[in-house]
Amino acid sequence: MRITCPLCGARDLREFSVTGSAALLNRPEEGAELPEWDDYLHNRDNPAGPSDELWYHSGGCGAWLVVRRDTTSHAVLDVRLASEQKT
Amino acid sequence: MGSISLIKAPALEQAPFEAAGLRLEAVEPGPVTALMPYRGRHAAVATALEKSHGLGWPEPGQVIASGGQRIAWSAYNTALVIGAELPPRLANHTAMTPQGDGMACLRLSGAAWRDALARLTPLTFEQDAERGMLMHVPALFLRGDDAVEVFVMRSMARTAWHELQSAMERLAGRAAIS
Amino acid sequence: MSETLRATGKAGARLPNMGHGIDRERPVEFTFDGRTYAGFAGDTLASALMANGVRLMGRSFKYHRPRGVLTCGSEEPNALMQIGPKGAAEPNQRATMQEVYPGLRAESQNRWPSLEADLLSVNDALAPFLGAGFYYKTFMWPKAFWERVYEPFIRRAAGLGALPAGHDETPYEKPFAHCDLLVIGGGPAGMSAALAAAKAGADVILAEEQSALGGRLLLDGGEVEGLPAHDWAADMAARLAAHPKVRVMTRTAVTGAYDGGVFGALERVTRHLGDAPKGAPAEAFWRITARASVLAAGAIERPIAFPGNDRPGILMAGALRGYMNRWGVAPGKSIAIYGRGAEALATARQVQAAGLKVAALITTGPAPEGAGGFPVFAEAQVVGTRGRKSLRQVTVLSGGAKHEVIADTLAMSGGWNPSVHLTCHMGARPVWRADIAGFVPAEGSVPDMQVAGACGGRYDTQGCLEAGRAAALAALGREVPSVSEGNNVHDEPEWRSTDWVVPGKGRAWLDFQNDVTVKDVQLAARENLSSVEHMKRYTTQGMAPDQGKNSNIGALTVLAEATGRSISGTGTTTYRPPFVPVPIGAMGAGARGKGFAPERFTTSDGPSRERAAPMVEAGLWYRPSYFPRAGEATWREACVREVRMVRSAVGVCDVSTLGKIDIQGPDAGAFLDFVYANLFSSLKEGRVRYGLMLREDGHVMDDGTTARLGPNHYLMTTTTAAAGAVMKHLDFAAQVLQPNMDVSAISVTEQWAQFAVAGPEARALLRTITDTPVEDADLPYMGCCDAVIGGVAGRIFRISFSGELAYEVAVPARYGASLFRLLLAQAEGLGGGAYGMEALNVLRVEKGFITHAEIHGRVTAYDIGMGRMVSAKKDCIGKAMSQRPGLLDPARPRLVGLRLSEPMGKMLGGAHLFEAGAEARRVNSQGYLTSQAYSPELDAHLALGFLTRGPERIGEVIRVVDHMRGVETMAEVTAPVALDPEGERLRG
Repeated sequence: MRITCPLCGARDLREFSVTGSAALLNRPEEGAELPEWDDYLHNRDNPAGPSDELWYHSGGCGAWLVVRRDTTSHAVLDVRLASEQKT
Repeated sequence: MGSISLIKAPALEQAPFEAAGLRLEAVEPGPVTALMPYRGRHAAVATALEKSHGLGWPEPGQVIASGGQRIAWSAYNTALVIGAELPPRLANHTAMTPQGDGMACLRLSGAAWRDALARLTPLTFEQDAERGMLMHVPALFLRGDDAVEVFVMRSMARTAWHELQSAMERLAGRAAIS
Repeated sequence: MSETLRATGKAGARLPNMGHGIDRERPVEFTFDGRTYAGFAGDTLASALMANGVRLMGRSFKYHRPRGVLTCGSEEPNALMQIGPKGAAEPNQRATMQEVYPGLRAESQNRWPSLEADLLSVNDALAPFLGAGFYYKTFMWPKAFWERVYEPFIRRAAGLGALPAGHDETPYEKPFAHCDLLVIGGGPAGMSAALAAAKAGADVILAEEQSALGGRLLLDGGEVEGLPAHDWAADMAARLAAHPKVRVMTRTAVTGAYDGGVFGALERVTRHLGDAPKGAPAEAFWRITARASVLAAGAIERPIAFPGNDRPGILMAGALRGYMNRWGVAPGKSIAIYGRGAEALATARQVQAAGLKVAALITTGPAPEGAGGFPVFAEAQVVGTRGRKSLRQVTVLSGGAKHEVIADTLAMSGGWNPSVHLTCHMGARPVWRADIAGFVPAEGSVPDMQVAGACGGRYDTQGCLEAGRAAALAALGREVPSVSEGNNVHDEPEWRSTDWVVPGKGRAWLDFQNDVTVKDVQLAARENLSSVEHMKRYTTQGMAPDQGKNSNIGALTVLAEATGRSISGTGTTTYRPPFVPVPIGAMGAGARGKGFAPERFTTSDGPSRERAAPMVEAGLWYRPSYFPRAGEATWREACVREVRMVRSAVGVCDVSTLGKIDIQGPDAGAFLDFVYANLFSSLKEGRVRYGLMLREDGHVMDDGTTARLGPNHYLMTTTTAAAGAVMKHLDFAAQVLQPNMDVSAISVTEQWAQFAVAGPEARALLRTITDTPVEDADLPYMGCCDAVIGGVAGRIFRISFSGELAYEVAVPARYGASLFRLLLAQAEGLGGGAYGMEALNVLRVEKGFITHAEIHGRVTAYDIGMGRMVSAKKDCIGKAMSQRPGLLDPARPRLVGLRLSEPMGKMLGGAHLFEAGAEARRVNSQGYLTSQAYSPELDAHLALGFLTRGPERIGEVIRVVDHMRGVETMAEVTAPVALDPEGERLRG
């Protein structure tokens, strides 16, 4: 599998590590109730199709990436820098 | 005290190794400083480096060289200034972190350096500066015309040497097949 | 009416005017089962043995039936051999792929005592009792027999070939390659594709598993564009080899197709050479990344399942043509051909032209027009054969009568199966095409892959050439030329399944390697294992080294008939990588010994080894365990001495392996407040603070000290174990959670060599190496400063992991070795010296300091008595979840000290804690022990552990049981800090 890092270009899978759903981008505000935290940390959709995931380019530039990947075909549809998702 | 002075040791004490028309040697990179510019200060850093060293701020994968001095993109929001001392006032714009002691630089020269590295990394070396893995060793690769410099962590220098030497031996063996 | 034809002479000779693939000027000697034979350069082991009249080349796996060569390719199921020098011979090598070299040594497998007289061939006589499912039905009872009788028996009988006993010292490599277009298969379609793509400007890799390009052009004879087919192929191969855009990789089988245009490929680099150059890999397992690919893998000829179809001398018709044309071998003297249509007739004509006798042409269809000069049986089937170690006679059913044909060789063809394997590796299923009686790849099976030639169901050479070119251009997104209609091999009006599965009684083999017969598959169907995947596992059909390349389609045909379904409705089993066997040694190339994992060495590694310190692995790092001195017999003596040295004088220890992370930027303080549980923005410059880092789920991630070096500049330390994880975590916090903070973090672990100097004489030692003031007033406990050390700009931190007056001295790594030597020399002058990991552990256990033995991922700040460090003044990662009621339950196991009542030398982490009178059972466990050490200072055996309601139970005596090591003791529960609880030593 190949992932096109926005900084490094198309790279081999072995340079990356996956963390899970990109839902982790949306951290609850301070003071949020525990059920909201529970959702944030533990409850996940399991889509058959496009899914946004957080990947770390650990063997490369050290960028955190939001990778849109089709879980049915493994096709990588889009890769963006995680740091540019909230600004 | 004043009378005592510490002495430097290179990251790796290895005689150059030659095989398959390639030469592997440990080189002293000189001062290396990592720059991580503060928010929105990349242009200011570029201007300052242009003025002081004829350098600039590199795009991902880019190396800007001037004389013996270089600035090489090295990671997310990071570039390495190699072979130059930097004015302290640059710290107004960027985090500055000395890194030269923490690195070993292995230089692999000869026309077939890509063939040797193809034994160790899936990189394609389409850019001047690429960050990747040399087998299991994290590395920064700065390519030249007939050579590549492989920067690795000082502690892993011996492993990196072993990997490169093994790849060269395989190449040499292949070349000897009639 | 019965017609008998007599065979004459002996099988095995060279044909004078054939054999373009061998060099008769270069004879090659080799041995097979200890006997020396001669072949020619260009021979495979199989062709050379056939030329020597050797028919018997192996024994089948289950019945130990005598077997000869079936094919001339990588799909060979029978001629599997052990090849190589004694003691290092590779098992299960296919004689059809192994090229001969001078001194090659081959041995047959799966026989004892010899290939000719194999005792286990008694299994064949017992065959009626050994049908499919025999193992499952027989070895069930009595239960007691399993371990003593059945398992040893099965183990002896199981396995094929013998693995060399020692380490595999064979050099392998695992390289990467990249291209615009990967062409898989170097037959006419593949060569045409490669050339078209190269002309279009693409970087091409052309991979061919045989030793030369050409595919069936090398095997079938005939002409292309007015040239003999093999000459045309050689010209084309030369053009491709000379083309700058083409990289031809022969002896390279593409083994798998993976996501993102990545392919695996196995190259035999020196397996065909007797004297491999030093360093050259025997095989290389390539990972090829291609923007697009063309599959031109050809097709595999389908055997016919008829009774007695496995005798030596029965082989595929395509292989027979190959042995004659490429290797100039006469496979026999009297050859019967069994097949259908024009191809069968062409085979007969070639046999005739080679001067060999055509015993009969047995065709499943009508008599071909123009057949003459040999007997022809039309609308016929072979229903029986004779000959134990070599075929003697063939029984043909034609026109309602049986005919006996005397023949030493039978060439069969039940049609062709396109090699769809790679197109299925990403989950696609092939589709059945009735018109060619074969499965072909479904459209779009592998992204960016085009299919061309026989593997797409196109069998004529001209069509393959056109299809290859079209596929290459389509793969590159260019304009695609049209491809003419036609298909000269499979243009028979109608293929029926009886063309490759003959109905009737008698054992008819499907899977030659695993001895699966038509009956076995029918039995599976009767026992309701009607899914093709169930049938496969029940019968072991297709589970041998050839993975059913020859037999799967035949087997599912039988299954379809037995279950009343169509072939397409029955479907195929799942095709998985690798296409050909890949040695584990090739997959693990470079990962043995030094290549297994990087070794990380500190700057003090050399000086430590000079002092004979045994090194222990700490993650990837190597750290000294202890520094032995004369007269010390055990590590424990050295450890106790080092601990006393630190407590009474001064010790020096390399702590460079701890992670060091430089954090800079206007928001550095706010960032640290966010990633640490406690407050850091309030830390004064020149001061150091202990920090506790939580995961977002509220559990402890790591701990360490962080120093403030400047207004916007901090230096964080992490544990050695978690350095990488913390760096990733900080990148996550900065890039994902707080992208608006203006802060940067970079590892400086490698930049600085850092040494702990600990003990009452630490300050005296420091005074000898620096002029920087280190008195209490200048550098109080938890202070830090820049310093000049031995003329070098460095840093000094007044921190302690031993509970003693201690400093950590840091210099740039180039000076690390020099500083370590200096510190040791000065320490020794003060009655001290170096200490290692063992002493470091004792010192910290005495002080109740935690490591990852304690913060193992399941404990909270509350559990380790640091609950109040989670600052109420700010948000931080893990804060919300750390306040979950369950994580603040006083009944949780919480950190305590333990004073063991007797020395428990063997007791280590993992022992469980029980109430004094309680039975030591899991349900009664009240906690566990994490660290243990003998304290020379207190002359006591101390431990740390987690005990339910621990801090409330100080003074209680509990039971400690280590079930694993079978030891137990009693222990008094104490506070975690056993030595100097007030911390007076720290302040010197």
